[in-house]
Amino acid sequence: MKCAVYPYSDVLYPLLEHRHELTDGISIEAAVYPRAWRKLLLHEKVLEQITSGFDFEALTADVECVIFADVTDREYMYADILAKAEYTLSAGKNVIFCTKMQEHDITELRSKYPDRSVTVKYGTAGRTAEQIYGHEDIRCAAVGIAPLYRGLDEAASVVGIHEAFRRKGLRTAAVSSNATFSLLGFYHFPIDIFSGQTDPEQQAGALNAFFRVLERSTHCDVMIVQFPDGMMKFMDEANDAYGVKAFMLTRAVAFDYFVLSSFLEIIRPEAYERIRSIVGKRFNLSLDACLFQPLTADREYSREYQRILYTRNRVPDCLEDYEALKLAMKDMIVADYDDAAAYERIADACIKKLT
Amino acid sequence: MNPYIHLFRSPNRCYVYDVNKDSVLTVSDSLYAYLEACKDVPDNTDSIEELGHEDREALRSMLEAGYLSDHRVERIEHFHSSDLDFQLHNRINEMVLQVTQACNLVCSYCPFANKTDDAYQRNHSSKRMTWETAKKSIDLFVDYSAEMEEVGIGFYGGEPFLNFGLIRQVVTYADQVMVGKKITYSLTTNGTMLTDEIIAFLAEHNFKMMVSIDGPASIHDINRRKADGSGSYHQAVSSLKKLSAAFGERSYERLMINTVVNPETDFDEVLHLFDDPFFLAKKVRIAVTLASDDKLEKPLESRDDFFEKFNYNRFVSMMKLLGVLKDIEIDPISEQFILLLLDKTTWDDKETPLLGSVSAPAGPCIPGQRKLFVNADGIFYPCERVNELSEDVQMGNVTDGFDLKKADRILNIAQLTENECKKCYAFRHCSICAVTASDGNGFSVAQKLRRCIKVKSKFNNTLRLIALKKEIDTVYKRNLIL
Repeated sequence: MKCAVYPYSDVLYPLLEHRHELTDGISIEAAVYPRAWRKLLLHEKVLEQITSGFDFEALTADVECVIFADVTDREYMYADILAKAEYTLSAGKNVIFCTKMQEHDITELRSKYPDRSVTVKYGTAGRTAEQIYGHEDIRCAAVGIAPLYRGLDEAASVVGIHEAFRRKGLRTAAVSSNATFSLLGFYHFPIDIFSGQTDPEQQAGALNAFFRVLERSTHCDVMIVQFPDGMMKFMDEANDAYGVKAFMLTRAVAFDYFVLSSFLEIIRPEAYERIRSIVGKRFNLSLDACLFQPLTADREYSREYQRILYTRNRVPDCLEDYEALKLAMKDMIVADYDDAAAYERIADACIKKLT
Repeated sequence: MNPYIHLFRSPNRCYVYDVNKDSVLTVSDSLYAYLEACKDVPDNTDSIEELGHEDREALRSMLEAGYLSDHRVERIEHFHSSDLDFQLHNRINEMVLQVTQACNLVCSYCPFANKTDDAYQRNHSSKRMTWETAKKSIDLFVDYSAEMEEVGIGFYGGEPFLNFGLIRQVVTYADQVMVGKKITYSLTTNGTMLTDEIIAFLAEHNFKMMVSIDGPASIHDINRRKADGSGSYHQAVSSLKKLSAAFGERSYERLMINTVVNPETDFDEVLHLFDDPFFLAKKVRIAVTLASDDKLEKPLESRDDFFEKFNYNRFVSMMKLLGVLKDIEIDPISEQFILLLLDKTTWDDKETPLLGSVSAPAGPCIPGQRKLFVNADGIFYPCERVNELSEDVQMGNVTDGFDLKKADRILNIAQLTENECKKCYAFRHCSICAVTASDGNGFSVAQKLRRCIKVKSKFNNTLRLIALKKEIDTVYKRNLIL
């Protein structure tokens, strides 16, 4: 099925690299990005292989279906996505929502366009009361990939590491925090499991149940899990507060190998010794690898908003220190977030660690 | 020793503000005297022997902790000089469009309405921004705000609603081309031109509104009058109430009144504004500013009792904060003062990096980055408060883009008075920027130095607040109660 994906951002470039290997016979033929995001698209080569641009109507004219990518954390895009979905359906095409939509909107679209297909992929993994209670260890190997702070995206690393394990003949199951990657056969956390609707005391149990069901149904040798939020919280004064979701996840699964997604703002070897200590003590994780994104922080805005805001500014100034860090961290893989060779090294190191 | 410090006293104690550490320490009378002497005689090492044991120990501890350093800035250059190009082409936070230069009011303290040939500002004119200029502005903004997930678009005048058609066009267009960003629209108005249609539009697009109301009718109508001399209070307040109703639960978050207090008026009478049940119900936020005569030819003359009453209200609110006066309401103007007092950032000691050899006073923001003001002709300014007639602050336009040299000069305004800045104790707390360092001809050393006096005076007040906060805990042994 010929599809377009909207709103396209750099986060989704691994999906385009595998655009002919997607589930349900989906083939991505067009990527539509908001005009305001164009300047942030760095992986231009992958876009050159398909039709891309910001004219939604023109770019979706020749496809059968539009995939609405996961922007659940950007509530202000909801109205735009709903309007574009309605336009798509009215033009006689189908829609797949990988982003969280209100149930009543889905119901309305389905009743208004009964001849069209409205598919929801966001957080559809089920769970039952039976699954929530009790706690059992996961028997397969578990690899965790988490951002140091919220907003770093490690989707490319998850896809790459997943591929590396598969190439070694292992059965894999990947859990992504971005539901759009369900198109690659990745799993997504059950809807609302991290929201206030789930009792905090039951969250770890529910997560553990989710992973047990996943292990049982996929018979995987290794599970690659993308953490849904940062390991640390950025604050001006207390910069070592930790991520609650990450904590819950590490209560649910004992991870055997841990990959941190970081950025060029934090570049001194001493910082990673401290982070190693924190993730060890608080999350019971080893710091085995660190993949870097070419970003720094806008310190002034981050302090003002009390959350980290990234920028590409000053990246060239950091490269020398980054090279020094690679040399200094002998017992940890340090590489770029999109370095395919690093994914192989990580898979090898993980296998070596567990055998 | 020639420490980079500023010494000051409260009625109870002596203090030293260390510029390099950006921190206030309490010192004994004798150590204070010693440090004062050091400022006059930098190599005052002999008199260390005259200090008592405790003072010598205190001095040693301070030196060991990095206080009392004689390090000073060697060259004035703003940190963002090196990445100004990137900031302006990728990280513009807000764009403010001057949709018209016309206004339907002739306010007594408005520099635009009372301009003569020597005044520092343009006159009200009938000039309106065209759709072509507005569209070019928004198109550039899409590009220049690439890295910002949240952006603002503001509308400014004159009275912006004299060109409501353009506002509507801009919002429709921006909603379309800036999809993917969270947009906040904002607007400052005198509140006299709001129709039901406009109010519905503002509520639908969740505008942040600032309505100017200077006091009750008896005050407001003296200053904010129409060309025929009639007042505008009743129209403004009526519009505000309708806006509040239309915004519903969002009213307090989105609506604010700006009360410009003219010191020529009776301060107590200004406060009667807040007796209105609408304001008592806290449906809108209240911002208060003292009218400035910086850009007026004829300075404002304070009423004899204005500051007496103003300061008395602050004193009463302070007594309430200390729990001395309990059952007393604080007026919104004094409440701002109290909130400043309670604001941790005003006085909390925090780790501050030492000043570098190359640095700049705190005053200017990155010109145009936090807010890029585009006037009706499409000329870029660092903000809407500058003198639009001054070429010094014209930093580009919608056709040619930014003039980075001009922007850098605005950013490095402190280079006008480099020698004075390098030894100023208010270096880290300066607020001088292109707005305040300009006179009718553009950047002015004399104007900047005049402003320095005000900045130091304001910083001294902040230091007194810091001392007061320290003494509330230790001398007065009171808890703050709001």
